Parts: sequence; structure tokens; C-alpha cells
Amino acid sequence: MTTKTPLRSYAVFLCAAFALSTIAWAGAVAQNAPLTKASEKAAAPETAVGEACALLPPSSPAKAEPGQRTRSGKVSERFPNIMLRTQCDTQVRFYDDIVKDRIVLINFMYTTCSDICPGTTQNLVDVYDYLAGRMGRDMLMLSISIDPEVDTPDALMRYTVIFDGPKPGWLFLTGDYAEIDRLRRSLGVYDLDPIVDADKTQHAGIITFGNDRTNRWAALPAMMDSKELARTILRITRDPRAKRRNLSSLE
Amino acid sequence: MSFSRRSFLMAGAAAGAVGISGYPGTALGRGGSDSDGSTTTKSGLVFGYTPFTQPLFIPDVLTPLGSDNALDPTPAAVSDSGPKMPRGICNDVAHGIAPEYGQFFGQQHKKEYLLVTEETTQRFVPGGPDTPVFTYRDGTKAAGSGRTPGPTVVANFDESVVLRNCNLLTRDRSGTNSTGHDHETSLHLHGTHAPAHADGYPDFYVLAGEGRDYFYPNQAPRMTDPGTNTAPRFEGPFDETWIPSTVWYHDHGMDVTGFNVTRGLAGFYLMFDEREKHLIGTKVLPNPFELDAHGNPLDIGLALQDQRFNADGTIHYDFLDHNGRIGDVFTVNGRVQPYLKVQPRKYRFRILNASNARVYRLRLSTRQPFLVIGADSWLFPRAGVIRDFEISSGQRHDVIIDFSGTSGEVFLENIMIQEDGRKGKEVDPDRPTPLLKFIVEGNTVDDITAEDETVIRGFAGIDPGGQWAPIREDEIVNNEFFRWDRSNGAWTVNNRFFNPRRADAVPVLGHGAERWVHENSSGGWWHPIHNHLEGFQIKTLDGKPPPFERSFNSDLVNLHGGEVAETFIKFRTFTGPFVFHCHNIEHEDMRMMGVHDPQPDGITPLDGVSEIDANISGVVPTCEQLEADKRIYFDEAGDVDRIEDRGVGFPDCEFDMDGRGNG
Repeated sequence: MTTKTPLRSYAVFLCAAFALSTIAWAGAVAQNAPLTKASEKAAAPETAVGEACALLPPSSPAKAEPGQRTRSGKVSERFPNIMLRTQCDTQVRFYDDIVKDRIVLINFMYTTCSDICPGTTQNLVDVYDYLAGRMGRDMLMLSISIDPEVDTPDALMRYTVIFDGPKPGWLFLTGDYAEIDRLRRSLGVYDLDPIVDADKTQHAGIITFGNDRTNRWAALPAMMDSKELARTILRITRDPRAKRRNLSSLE
Repeated sequence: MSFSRRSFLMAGAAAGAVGISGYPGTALGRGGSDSDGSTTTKSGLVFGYTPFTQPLFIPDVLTPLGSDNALDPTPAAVSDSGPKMPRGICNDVAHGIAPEYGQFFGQQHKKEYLLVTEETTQRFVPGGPDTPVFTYRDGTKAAGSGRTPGPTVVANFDESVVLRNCNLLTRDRSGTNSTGHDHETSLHLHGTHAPAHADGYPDFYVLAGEGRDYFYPNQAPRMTDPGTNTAPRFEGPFDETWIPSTVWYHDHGMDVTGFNVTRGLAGFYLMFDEREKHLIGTKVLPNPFELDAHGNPLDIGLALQDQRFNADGTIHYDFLDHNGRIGDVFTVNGRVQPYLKVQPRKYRFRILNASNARVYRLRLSTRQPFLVIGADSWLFPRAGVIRDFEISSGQRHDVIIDFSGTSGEVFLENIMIQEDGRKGKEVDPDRPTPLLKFIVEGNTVDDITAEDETVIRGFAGIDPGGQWAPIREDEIVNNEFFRWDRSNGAWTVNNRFFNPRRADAVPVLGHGAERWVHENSSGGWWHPIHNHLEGFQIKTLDGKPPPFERSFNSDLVNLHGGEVAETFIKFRTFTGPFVFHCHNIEHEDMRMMGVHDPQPDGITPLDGVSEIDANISGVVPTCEQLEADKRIYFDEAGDVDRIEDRGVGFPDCEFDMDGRGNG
């Protein structure tokens, strides 16, 4: 057995902890609570942290082809169904394994981004905390590296130390540079001026989010007030047909 | 001065085909950039339509309610908690009416309307697909009879109105709500002077299944007393400089405005005061209620909207294109490239840019000039002649076109080339896009006297009875500077992001005037900056006087890249909050917006932290009242719609989730 860094060992442990085969729609009882941050509540059990990497169905390497999709008028149809690797070094297909039938919150970053990214990530941590009750269930937070040649799964896992380790339902993703570039453009995160577009930091200020079931999508500044952002995400991605879910984080 | 009031009628049916003559190149419009990369939605061919073979649609006038179909419950009676009203019937009027209605207007209004927001289908080309659209429908008419643009509201100055807007975009209306979900809206009357509660604040939603009573006093602000440099709120003479004329209404729901307006939620609101009626009665201006030999009115609103269709005829809208939505099909009043038969005489047109992002430069194919008599909501002191003019999203220009001396055809053309939502690319007089064809037929009539320099409102102190006066430098009590910028893909105003609960400016209500300087620092983008509650006067645009047609009152200033506009503006009558924002609607939806909250001196502003006094800032029931009213509740499916029904200045309530429910 090769020697691994302590962090890598820990990651292997986390990633191996669970393998949920389905995403459960939480039917948890509502709690009487306003929109508060998870960090302000009792500390999550350690096993919840272990779910960080282990919340996806068996991933797609078993599939030779990207999933076939019929034209349905869905916004998600034009996202390329590219192969990505998570911070746990598992492989996933963007649409088939992540977006399909879920609510996703997507931002672009890279680990060596020194000016705007740490602040943005920290703000998104606050947003995540408001929505923590749903993260990893019907909702996923995705941070996709636009510097994938530098940002290996290891580098992404190290980056999560900024906010106290990986969080359930928050995937950091890397992959092929050209494919991620194509994905970024399909999500509307680009500038028509090629000089501006070439500057990676120009794409780090937006969070794009949507509900693949209801087909409602929007984008907002990733640095805006986190509570306002969380509320807007809930409003835009609401799905009246979903069963009553854990309401503790919805106020 | 009275004149007969008749409904605007639909233009007469097409009488014989008229071929497209003399049109070089593509008569079908310029292509737009395809940000989603698809190549199957090139809708320039528009379902086999031959341009200029369908007549211009002219919306009807919105029918006022009478005593037999008056609003029920009556306005201001709706804040009582009572038995829960079933959704979708629009008796569930949420959040009452503007507090000013009771406090300052004695709970009286002179006219009322019912306007229903619902989905229906419309043909943009004759024989073409039935395209689902959102419409504002006259509440006295049959369901599904709405069209886009919505009915034209005809208002008299100082005759107050309550308009009840019902949002029927509920998801259970299968077949008529193709979005598949409950859809939120907020109605904004653009370019008028109205209470904050009635102004269409972005997150003061009219939720699906709910109604809202919009109280429109239809007044102007009051004259500033020169001694105190203060304008009273509800007494004293009106400031006639600011009497509105061409106003329009449209959706303003936060984050969804681009979609809602594209889908059809817009209409005209025309206000007539004594001066304008006098000008009409004395035939200085054409009479909107007089029909010509072709059966059309002499005063017509033209809403220009670029559209884009999918192959199946549905409206194409890209939620992830944040540049600004550009279409490749050109509609006027909801029909692709129509025609209008006109006699050789003068007509008045209220030209409105109802597009989300496209900036037009308009001219006539004969190169004859326009006689321009107004910009945005306000008539000019005197008419002026211009050959062509720029008009950006949300702007209006009130013009008279004289067809006498022309024959055959005259086209209203756009000579601004624009390929993406960021800005126009260039003005090219050699590549015009025709929008509307005027077919000149019939007898010459020479009855309207307006021409260059004709007194309209008149310059106060110069023309007899002159009404229009500039805001003077010595009235300025405060300066504000707003830098509109792009930050890592997001929009900022003074380096901050929009927060509906934080005021970016707190003018002292009624006190003097302010100098607001807007700078567009965003690089290769144009931004039309719009202000709610009051318009402004542009003193300099990039250090120079603005073009003639933008040199009086306006509520929208289009900032080209790097431009700086110095504006003078007053904040009178109604306390805030109000928004000001870029009117490229996709930018607006990305929160390119700020809040101003005019308050009497010494009152705590809307800072998202302090308590908001319900008597001052819009309607703010206490949390206890909201809870008791069960105004915020879930329906059986756990629909969280209502929980987001936070309104203007709402406090941050902690609701007992278990204690709520359908009751």
C-alpha cells in the first residue's frame, strides 16, 4: 500500500464511508425555526460529514456513452454531459449524475485564485448553511474549477479546508479544460469580449442555479447578501410537486 | 374642453394584399447572437409570413368598472382578516392598499379597474402558430381574450384610480400556464408618480392566485416653495413641469422581469390633463378618439419589441443569457412587421421601446423628419424637429408624423445594428430594418397645426401660460454619485450588490433637488438607467448637453460605455422605498439595481436593520398581523409560494410553521 498524505487518507475514509444508491427526498418533520444557518445550530454529527462524497448513484464509468436525452425544451439539455472528477476522485457525468432531476447551485472557481475566490467561497458557505438541510438530498452545490490542469481532486480536497472540510452535497469538480470551458459557456458564464473572458477571475462572481424538474433557472452575484441569496434560490427553485420536505432551513 | 370618447378600435381588416415593394436586402430583420449555441431557432423566416401583410393591432381601452361590477371586496376593505378566499378568484387581495389612500386621500377614488394577468395564446403572424403569451386582460371581458400589449388605460389627470390586478398564472390552470409552475409578478406603472405600495417594488409580488390593489392618484408632484426650498406633499399647486402623458405599465417581478415582459406583460397608460386636452380640442395635436377614413385613431401607441421564436412557435427565452435578450423578429404591438393605412395627414404616435435590451435608432424611409413633442412621460415645452433618434429599452418618444405630401409607402425603420444584448454595434443608414409600413391612401386632411417650435407645455415665464421649467442649480441640496460597474460577471452599484432592504440613497422628502451623477464604468456595455417615483432632467451627458429630444424631462438615460450623466432630480410626495436600475431587463434581473427611500427629515431609512414604521414605508403589517391573517401559508402540496411574499419594508418574521396551514 502506497503512502498517502494524511489528508488524502482522511479523504479516502470519508469517501468510502457511505454509498447511497438513491437520493432520498427528506420527509423530515418541520421544525419551527426561521432561516438560520446550520452553523448556528447544534454541530452536525460526524457521520453527516462522511456523506460529503458519498451521495451519488454509482457513477458513469459503467456507461460508455453519455446519456441519451430526448429534446424536451429543458434548459439543461444544452449542458454538455461531460465527465468530471469530484474532490473525492470519483467520476461523474455532469447531467446524468448531478443535474438530472435535481436542484443545483453552480459556481466557477480555481484554487490558486487569490483575490475574489476565497471571499466568494466563504459567502457561499453562508448560503450553504442556510440550505444545509437540503444539501446532498434534492439540492447540490457545485464548484467547478476553471483551472482543471492545476486543480486535481487532491487540490480541490485541500481547498475545502478553507471552510472546515468537505460538506455533504457540495462537490468540487475538475476535468478536461476544453470540456469545462464548453460547460461554462453553456451555463451563460462568459463574457462576449474575449479579453475579458480570458481572465479567469471574471467568471468567479456568479452563482447559477436551477431546478431541472421545474426548468426554472437564474443567476445572481455570488457575493451578494447570503440570506437574500438563499431566499432567492428557494423561491426560484421551489417545486410545489415535491413532497413536504425538511422545513427547518426554509424560513 | 370635452371631446367625444370612443374606444380605440382595432385597425380595419386587411383590404387586398400589398406586395413588399422596393425593399432591398432582408426585409425580415437582423439576426441576433445565439448564446445557447443552438442553430435551430433562426426565426427570421417567421413561419412563412410575408412582411407588412397584417394590420397593426391597436389595443382597446381598458373598461372602467361601474357600480354593477365594482371591485369586491372594496379597496381598503381587504386588510380585514376573514374567511380565507379561494385562490384564483382574485378576491384574495394581499396587503391591502397604499396607506396614503387612507391617510391623505380619504379612502376615495374616482375610477376603478380590474386587470387580470393570465396566459393565453396569440398569433404573431396571421395563420401562424398559437403562441403562449402572458397577457394583461381587461377584467370585464372573457377569460383568454387578453392580448399583448395589454389594454390601454386612459386616465385623466388628478382623477384617482384603483386598479386591481389579479395574477391567474397558477400552475393548476393546465393548458393555459405552460410554464408548469405558479408564476409571480409585480405591476409597475412606469413614469408616473405613485405611492411606494403601488409602484411595483420588485419583491412586493402579486403571487399566483392573488390580487393587489394599485392606487394611482394620477397627480404630479407639488411645486417647490421657493422660500423654504421644500415641496409640500398633498397641498398647494401641482408642478406642471411634471404632469405625465405617455406612461406605460409592465411587469417588474424580481428576477423574472425579462421573462415576463418578453412573454407579453406590457401596455400603455395615457394620461390627459387640461392642457393636453386643450391642445387636442384646438387641433394643435391629433385627437386619440377621432377616427380617420380607414377607421383608425389619429393618436396611436406603437410598442416596439424584438422577439424570438422556437421552431414550434413558442417564445424563446434564455434564462442563462445575461447579456440582454435580443430577438431577430421585429414586432409592433405584438404583431410581426405590420402595416397601417394612413391618410395624408398628421398622426401622433407614442413610440415605446418595449424590448428587453435592443436599442433602436428610428427614422422614416422617406427621410422626412419627426416632429417630436415629448420624451418618456412628459410633453416638451415646444415641439422640435429631428431626423432620427435613439430609443433604448423602456423609453418613449411622442412624435407627430405628417404623411401629407407623401404617397404610397412610408416605413418606420431601425438603423441601429445590434448583434448582442450588450450594446448597439453601429448606426448604419444603409442597412435599415423596416418595422412598420404606413400605406398612405385617401384624402388629404390638413387640420393639425403642430409644427416646429409650436408651444406644447410652454416655457414657464417665456410662453404665455408656460408650464415647463428647468430644475435650477440653486435648488440642489445634495449630490449623489452612482458608479454602475461589472464585477467578476456580476453588476454592482457603487461596489455593492442590490439589497431590497437597504437604501442606497435617502433623500429628504420634498426638500429641494438633488444632483445625481450616473457613471457607466462597465466597459463594453450600454446601460439605460431608470428611476422610479420621479423623472429627472439631464444637464450634461459626457460633459455636453444631451440631444434635443432628451433635454427636457425623462426617466431613462442610456449610458453608452464610459458615459457620465449629470441629472437633476427631485423626490416628492411619497415616501419610499423605490428602486432605480438599469433597464436592460436581463441586467435588471441580475440585480443591477439600487434603492432610494425618500423620507421626511429625521426618519430612519430603510436599512434592513431598523424597524420600519408601517405608517411611513409602504404597507407593513406587523408580524403578528401577518400571522393572524394567515397571509403567509402553505397550500396542501407544501408550496412555499407564500412564504416568500415579503413585501415592501417587511420585517423579518419568524413564523410558527406548524401553526400555519390551509385552515
